Amino acid sequence: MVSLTSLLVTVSFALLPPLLDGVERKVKAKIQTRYGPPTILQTWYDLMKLWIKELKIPTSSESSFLLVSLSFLTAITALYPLAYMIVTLHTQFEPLLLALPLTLVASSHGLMLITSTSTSNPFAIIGSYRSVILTLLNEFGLISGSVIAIYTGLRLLTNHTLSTTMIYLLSLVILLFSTYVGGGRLPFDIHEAEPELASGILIELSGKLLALYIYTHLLIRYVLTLLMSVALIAPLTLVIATPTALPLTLLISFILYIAYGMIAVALGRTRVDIGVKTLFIYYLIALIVLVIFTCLSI
Amino acid sequence: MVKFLKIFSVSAREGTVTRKYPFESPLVTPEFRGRIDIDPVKCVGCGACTRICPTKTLTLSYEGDEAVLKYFIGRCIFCGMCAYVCPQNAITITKDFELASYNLSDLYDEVVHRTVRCSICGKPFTTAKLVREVETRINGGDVEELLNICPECRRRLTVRRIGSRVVGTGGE
Amino acid sequence: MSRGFSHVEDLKGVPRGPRSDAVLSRVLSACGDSILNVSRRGTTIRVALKAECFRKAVESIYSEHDLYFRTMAASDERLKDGVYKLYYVLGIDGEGTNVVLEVPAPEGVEISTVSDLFRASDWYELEAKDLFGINFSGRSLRRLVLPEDWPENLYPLRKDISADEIKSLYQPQMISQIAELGVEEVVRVPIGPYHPALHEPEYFELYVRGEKVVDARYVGFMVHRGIEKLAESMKYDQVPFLAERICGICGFVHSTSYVQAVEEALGIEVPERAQFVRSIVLEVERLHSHLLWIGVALHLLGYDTGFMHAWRIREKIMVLAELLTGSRKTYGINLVGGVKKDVNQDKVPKVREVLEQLKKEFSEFVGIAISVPQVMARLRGTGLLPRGEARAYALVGPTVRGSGLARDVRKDYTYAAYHYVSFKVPVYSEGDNLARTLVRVDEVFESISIIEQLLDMLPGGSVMAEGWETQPMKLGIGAVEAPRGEVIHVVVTGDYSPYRWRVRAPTYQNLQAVPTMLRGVDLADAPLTIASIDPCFSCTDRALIINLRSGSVKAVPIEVISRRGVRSG
Repeated sequence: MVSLTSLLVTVSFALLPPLLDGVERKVKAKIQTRYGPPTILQTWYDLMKLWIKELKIPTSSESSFLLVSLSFLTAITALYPLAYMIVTLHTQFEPLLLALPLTLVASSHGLMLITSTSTSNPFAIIGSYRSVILTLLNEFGLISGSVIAIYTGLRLLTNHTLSTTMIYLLSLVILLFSTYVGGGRLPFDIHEAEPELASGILIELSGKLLALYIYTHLLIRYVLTLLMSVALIAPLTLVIATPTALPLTLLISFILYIAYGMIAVALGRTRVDIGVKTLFIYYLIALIVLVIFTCLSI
Repeated sequence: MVKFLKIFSVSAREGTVTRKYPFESPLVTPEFRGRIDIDPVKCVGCGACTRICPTKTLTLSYEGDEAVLKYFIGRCIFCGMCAYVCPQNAITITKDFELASYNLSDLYDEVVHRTVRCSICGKPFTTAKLVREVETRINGGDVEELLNICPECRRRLTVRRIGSRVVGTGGE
Repeated sequence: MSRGFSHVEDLKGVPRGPRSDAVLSRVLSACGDSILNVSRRGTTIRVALKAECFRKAVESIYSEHDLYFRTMAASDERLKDGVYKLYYVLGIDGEGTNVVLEVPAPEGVEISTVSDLFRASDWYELEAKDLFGINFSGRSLRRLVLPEDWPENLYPLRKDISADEIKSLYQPQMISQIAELGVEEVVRVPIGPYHPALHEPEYFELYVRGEKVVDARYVGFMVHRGIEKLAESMKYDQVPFLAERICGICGFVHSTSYVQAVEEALGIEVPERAQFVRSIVLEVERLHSHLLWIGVALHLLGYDTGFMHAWRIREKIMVLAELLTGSRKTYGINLVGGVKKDVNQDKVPKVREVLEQLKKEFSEFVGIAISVPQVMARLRGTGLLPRGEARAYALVGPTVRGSGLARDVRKDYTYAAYHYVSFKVPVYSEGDNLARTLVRVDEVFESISIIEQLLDMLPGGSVMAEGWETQPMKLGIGAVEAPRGEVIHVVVTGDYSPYRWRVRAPTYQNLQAVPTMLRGVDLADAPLTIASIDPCFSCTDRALIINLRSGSVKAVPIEVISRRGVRSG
């Protein structure tokens, strides 16, 4: 029963990202004082239009269709454990359920990087190396942030000491940063920076391949936003049941997704050295403070 | 530190500034220079506009008994020099700039003038209206008889007259 | 003639200082008997000297601190004097005077190069070789302007060859290559060597190690349009409309330069009101151009919201320009002797209102844009151009003013109505991208103040000089401070059309310094660094492409928003 519910939730989650992107584009347009796309369904229309185009595989990279499809499937799969987790959060918490989406997101990302590096496009290759550096660093924040936040979050109701609360809040901040960076929004979209890399891998792909790539990209964004939402509602799960937790998570993920998008609109693009350095310093400080609080709580 | 977020309040104040152009009216000030409009009644076919036109958009060609002033909008740069030099004020500058068309002939405008034939050699040399215009401007005078003679024949005639006068004077 | 006009004459009285005399006497003593003729007219001292003494003359003066290589025009005057002529225009910044070295170059005689003395003259010499076949000794000559497959000994700007003959003699190799393929009808899509995603046909080779640019070189002249040849068959009053189309952003500066050159050559007195109208329109053009640049720069930094807002503010200027001239761009009001559209008194309040609004919105916007962390981090300290380099390359415009040199044609070689207004020339000495940005930001406020002052003083009277006569073989120099630097046109007059018209856009001068600025920057900052001179490739360019074969070469696109309208794709 739970599995079936989770499956239904997964399917609806999977359909959401293009819609959220449509809303984000509308909001972005408003901030830039323009109309933007005619409807919030525009991203869906774009994807459908690209999907009915013929399949064109880059000559230098024959396996790219396979790689991009795998990446897409991996990203979709990452939604299932998350859905399962949300549905069952009030009764039990399976640590494996957290490890699974993190691994799948990383795999999906890795497959995309292989696609990039296997092309003969110098811009895509430069971009993928930039992406590797940023992802490696960010993975630390993503794993530590989500694990600590959800663990402490779930125990917050029964064990609300000051240090637990502080650890929870701090790990939330780390997770907020890392889910934002992982989403590849400005200032961290350096792997497909248009001015110097001519959009990187994006100009190598077209038609169906591009549609898959964009969908995967949006899925990963949404998976990360969901992760943050779960961490946010974790302390509440003991007092609210699934029928409330599910729509609440959805609402939070929706607000977060748009908030991320709004922050991105107000910023410029970073440079790979500046971005990595800033992120490293932030994580380092957060880690030190986290260790101090953990020591205090013991 | 978060001053950059002020852009949100600027956006809220300014609203949406782009226009859904083909569905909304374009932004054109009263001074805008668009395509030209030639008044066939006022035009006398003098060709002043064709000589100043920087892009050779306006051309005047003689085809039999007709002189055709052609305006090819495809080349027009909307500089308005033709209207600036037109002695008859026959050219007006409109605000029309939406000129795309599936039909090439839509981009052509023509004013056809009747030509006059030289009373000596019989070749068509200028437009009838220009002759009439010159006639009213000079208001009679002893050159009226020269009006219907083409420049070529007029030159010959003048040379012959001067010649005969010189010869005549010498004979006295 | 009004009172103010005589004031103009006073200012234009030559010489305005002792510097031009000093330079002149150095040339005279260096060359002695080789001097053919010395004449003064307006702000110009013209020294004709024999080719064999030319280098000696330049050696005697090139190290003068305020002397600046402005332009060089080659001209085919074999029909009149039996020789080609080179006009080297050297400006004396503090004084506003020009020293023109006129060097006759008989067929087959080599001229000594001065590209080692005036580094900026490098391209000018190559261009004279390409277009006129004038040879320079003491340097290596390579194709600059013309394509590689251009026939030897076909020099397009020579007077004995017509445009039609050139067309019949030169067929791009591409056509024969297509014939070899056996295809009858094909559409030729000119992609490469530049990137298809580009908005302008520029090609930079960046040699990178990791993400650092080690060296760079520019290959250009891909859109040579032969307009100088075309103008030789157009009437004086038709050329302004051609000149205006040299640049899609700052076209009015070109038409103004051209008409000023003709007016100087023929001694035409332009009514004061026309001079005011020209200045007002020139400043309106600077406003829209700087706002455009700031938008593009922010876009290159990934701050697209800034781009949108900069262009939103700019749109008000575009509408204002249309109200004043009848067109948003390529205003089309300049004619030899004046302008053909007056600024009506009832428009003045509207102009003031827009300027007031602009001042408020722009300062608010700049405050926001500067506070975006990435914008500051990537502007400061990138694309360094030291003052010495800026001087050596004889750079112009905001590029040189960002490196601590206060060169501005409006002040140095005053024209139109600029001597009536007081304004500052913003100068920053850091020489980085931030300095060049701030120069432009400050200039926006200066331009607003200039227009306001001009509107206050707008004199009455006509806007067009009454009738003027042409005289052949007169030399005229017209220079205007364009938004991107000095534009300078040299005109040698003919009977009905210009005999020779030499256009020098600011990018021609500034581009030569870009490789210096690129060395050591990160790849990510390369587009902005290239854009920081506000390059206009179509203004500078003339031909197809020079093919290069080198090791690890990467073409990097810089994005300069389409200078010639919107393109699809």
